[in-house]
Amino acid sequence: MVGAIAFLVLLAAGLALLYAVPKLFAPRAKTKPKELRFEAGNPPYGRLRRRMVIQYIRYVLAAASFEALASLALVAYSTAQQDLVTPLALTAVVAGVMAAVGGDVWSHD
Amino acid sequence: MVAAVFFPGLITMGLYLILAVWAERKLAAKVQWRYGPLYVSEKLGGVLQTVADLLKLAFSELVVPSYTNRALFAALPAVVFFVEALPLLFIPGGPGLVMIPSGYGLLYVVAIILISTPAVVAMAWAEADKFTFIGLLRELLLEAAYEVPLVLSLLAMALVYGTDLSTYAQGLPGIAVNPVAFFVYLVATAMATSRFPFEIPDADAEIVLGPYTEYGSSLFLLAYGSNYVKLYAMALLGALVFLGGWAPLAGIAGIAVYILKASALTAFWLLLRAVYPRMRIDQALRLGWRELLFLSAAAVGVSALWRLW
Repeated sequence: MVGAIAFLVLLAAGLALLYAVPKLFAPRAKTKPKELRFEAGNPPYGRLRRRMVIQYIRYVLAAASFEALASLALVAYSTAQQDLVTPLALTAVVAGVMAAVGGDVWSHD
Repeated sequence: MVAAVFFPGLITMGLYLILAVWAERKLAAKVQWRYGPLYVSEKLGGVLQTVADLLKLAFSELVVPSYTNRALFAALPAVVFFVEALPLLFIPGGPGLVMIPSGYGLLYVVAIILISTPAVVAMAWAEADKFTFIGLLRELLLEAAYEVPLVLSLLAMALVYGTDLSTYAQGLPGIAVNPVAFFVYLVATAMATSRFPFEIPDADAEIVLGPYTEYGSSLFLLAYGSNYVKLYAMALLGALVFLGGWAPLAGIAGIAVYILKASALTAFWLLLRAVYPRMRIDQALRLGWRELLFLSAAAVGVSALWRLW
């Protein structure tokens, strides 16, 4: 545990140093364009955050649900005297549903 | 303490960051019949170019724009870097050479790898720029493509070896037990670390640098460097889980073997930049949810058969 604390403290110190160096030694020439958001050479215009593209939402939903199943399988296996049934059942559910979804995706390509 | 400071801790991680960036540029240059970085330290093949770039960036003006939340803008690159380095706490560098020994090391590593994406998304959101916004959407979607196959490929290995990472260097290496899981891990890691052909969130030809667009100076170092820290952790994990880690040697020779295996994996992921075009996000999603998912489910089946046998 001492090693872990040393690692975290040294890492944090290194990161703090990376903040301190430009703050202390880098030249400062504050101008208005530097303060503006990047617009590929144009003045900022229009809405910044637009609506998310809905066409990929099925993937996000699938990932949100099946990732939980896959992780559950991993946890179940490691905590329940390493029985094979739970992870295999959960993986079968993932694979089965995805076979159906995959078939659907294929049929629409 | 050795694990924290030397291997797999800070010194090796720092050297890896420098050498991986140099190797990526050099490998791509070789494939494209160019010299690559050579201006600084020509006799060493330009290996110090990355150090020069690093120093130049660290001594550049630190601009924190006023149009966004300045505290979050400045703090989140360090948070991302920190989170990407956390798996190293649980990955052993040799027998007994681990910062936090745990029977559930693999679970912790998987969990940390998966929570790093929300940190990147938060960073891109705080930057508040059209390009970073597109980048964060792509980052989210790409995670939707790789996270299930990645978890399943590691589950496949856990079925054979368990979740204690120190046991992976004993017996047959994982690649011999389950080559399907190894292939899935290779592809899923390329996605997780935005290697080609999945360099979609920070596609520089399309969206400047995606989630890193607004950063300069040391903030850019932290934000962009965090990706290579993740690559380092994934290379170590892959070398341990699939290539046997420090086996068949022990001690310093074992560490050298382990580093060699992780370097070979890294070289593969870096070389992809030179040989693959960039996929579109829909192609990556389809790959993740069709071929890769079925392969990862098959990998779990292979491991189950191995266990029953």
